[in-house]
Amino acid sequence: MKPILQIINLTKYFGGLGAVVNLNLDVYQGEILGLIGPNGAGKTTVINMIAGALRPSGGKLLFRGEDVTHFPSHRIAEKGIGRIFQTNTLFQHLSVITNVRAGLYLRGNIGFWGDFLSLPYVHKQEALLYEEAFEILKFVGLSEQKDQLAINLPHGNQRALCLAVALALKPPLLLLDEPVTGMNAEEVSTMLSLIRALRDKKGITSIMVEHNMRAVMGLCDRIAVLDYGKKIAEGSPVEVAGNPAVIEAYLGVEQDAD
Amino acid sequence: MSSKISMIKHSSIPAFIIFLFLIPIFLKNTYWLHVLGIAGINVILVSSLHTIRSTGEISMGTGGFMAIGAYTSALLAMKLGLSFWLTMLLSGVLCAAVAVILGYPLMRTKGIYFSILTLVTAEVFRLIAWYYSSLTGGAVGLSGIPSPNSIPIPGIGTIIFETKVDYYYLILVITLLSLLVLFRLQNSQVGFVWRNIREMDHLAASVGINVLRYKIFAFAIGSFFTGIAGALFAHFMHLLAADTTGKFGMTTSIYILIYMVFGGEGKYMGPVLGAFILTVLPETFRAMKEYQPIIFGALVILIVFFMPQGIISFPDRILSWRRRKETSDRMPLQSS
Repeated sequence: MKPILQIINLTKYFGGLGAVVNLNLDVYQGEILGLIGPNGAGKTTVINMIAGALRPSGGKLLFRGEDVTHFPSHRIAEKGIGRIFQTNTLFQHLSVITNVRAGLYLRGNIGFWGDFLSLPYVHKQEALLYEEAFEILKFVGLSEQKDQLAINLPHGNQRALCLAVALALKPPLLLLDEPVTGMNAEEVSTMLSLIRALRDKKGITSIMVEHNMRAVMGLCDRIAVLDYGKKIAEGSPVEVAGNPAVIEAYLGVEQDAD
Repeated sequence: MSSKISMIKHSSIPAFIIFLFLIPIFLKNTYWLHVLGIAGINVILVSSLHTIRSTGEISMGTGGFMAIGAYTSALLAMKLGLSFWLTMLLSGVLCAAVAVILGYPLMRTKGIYFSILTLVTAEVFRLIAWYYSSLTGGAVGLSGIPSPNSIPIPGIGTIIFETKVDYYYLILVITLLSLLVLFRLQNSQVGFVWRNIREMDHLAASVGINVLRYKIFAFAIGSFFTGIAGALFAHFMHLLAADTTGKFGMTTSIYILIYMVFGGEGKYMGPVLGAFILTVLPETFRAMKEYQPIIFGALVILIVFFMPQGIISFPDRILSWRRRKETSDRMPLQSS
């Protein structure tokens, strides 16, 4: 079966520093792929390159067979790759539901003149979009808070909202950059079951960068390990956990509170 | 309580507009009508700047685009005999086109870099006008710019543009139309996307928004109306000069920015209020000669220091002060 995403010889140099060097990785439809490694290994750089936020220095990215290597962020989103950021990147002064509505930009289908002249069909379309936003909020468990300002949400809920905004794209592929960072055990467990539900109920493929080892081991179907920009291991959680190179690079040094 | 206030706001705006149309009935002083005309032009300029600002960028190119608008309209009217109504629109379109061409490289930069680039580009435009003296009159200036062409209304008569009152109404109508368009944009999906870009542009991009294109659009629309304001200025003053300290220099760009900040960026009417107050108020101090700029400066400094959200935030501040007072009155044991 052809992979949904093919990372071929992906490279990124910042000056003389090789942040990512000749990365080769296939991501298969419907899997949750973990991307782990010590700090500075290049994981977020890989995510940024896939998401179009950074230009690769070399290599290729094929999404569903199409070359998306040099696509800017908005075209990547159009193609169906969504992402969440390492920090809580939200429209802080908008309400929860308006944040998701903002994420529904590509499905707005509202023409410029209809919008400018405030024609009646626009209002109907807006109402439909808000309904859809509400459905997404229900899925992530934030329907109660829909009118609260994003800035007032506790951290765990903000993270869930970031996921909701990314889901507005209805993306076949999701890039999750540290989705459970800064969460307590209960929030982590909720987020993980959400990501699992995304795969099971919506068939969404996820690439997850994480430092939380329990989360990664418990959730991911496969794991790739980066160290100093290079892939040093790839396989099932059990295989990777037992790999001496991986253990040497970093497993066991991480001390999470949970 | 806020619905009462919004009711007052909603009924006061049409009332205020009617009031503006009635002013020349009791204000006959041509000097003050001239000042109000300039105020109208400044309102268009500041609203254009505010439109560009809504994507998060500060353009310092107001003077330069105004020059393009003014000279294009004046020269098209004088050399080709075209009607003002056409030349004004063409000036706006030309400014928008220039903004689009400039926008592709310029709006890839952000913040201070973008502002400096617009400043420098605007100066280039002004210098072209200055040195291309065979066309624009250079140091001597361009004089004899015609008045707007009269509008015949079948059955009633002709609208001619001769007196200050005629120009007052001309500028009033064009200003209101410009504000209508710009405010409508701000309230639409386009405005929503602009504000999202301003707040978190990488998040906006990640949900499929073409950030560069939206920024260029804001820049183009703002420049269009800056050009319109320039054309109005040309046919209002009948004389143009492109010297450094003139209307097309950096000073104008800086002043329009001051009007915007003084009035308050947060609401659409803020910059409008700022432009109006800071155009009209210094004229009342004109009798104080040397002290006029000092008073202007002091006023701006005071507001920026004590009311950084601008004059427009004054009612909200009163409301929240009263609310705070209510809660502290109800809880006498707590220190506020």
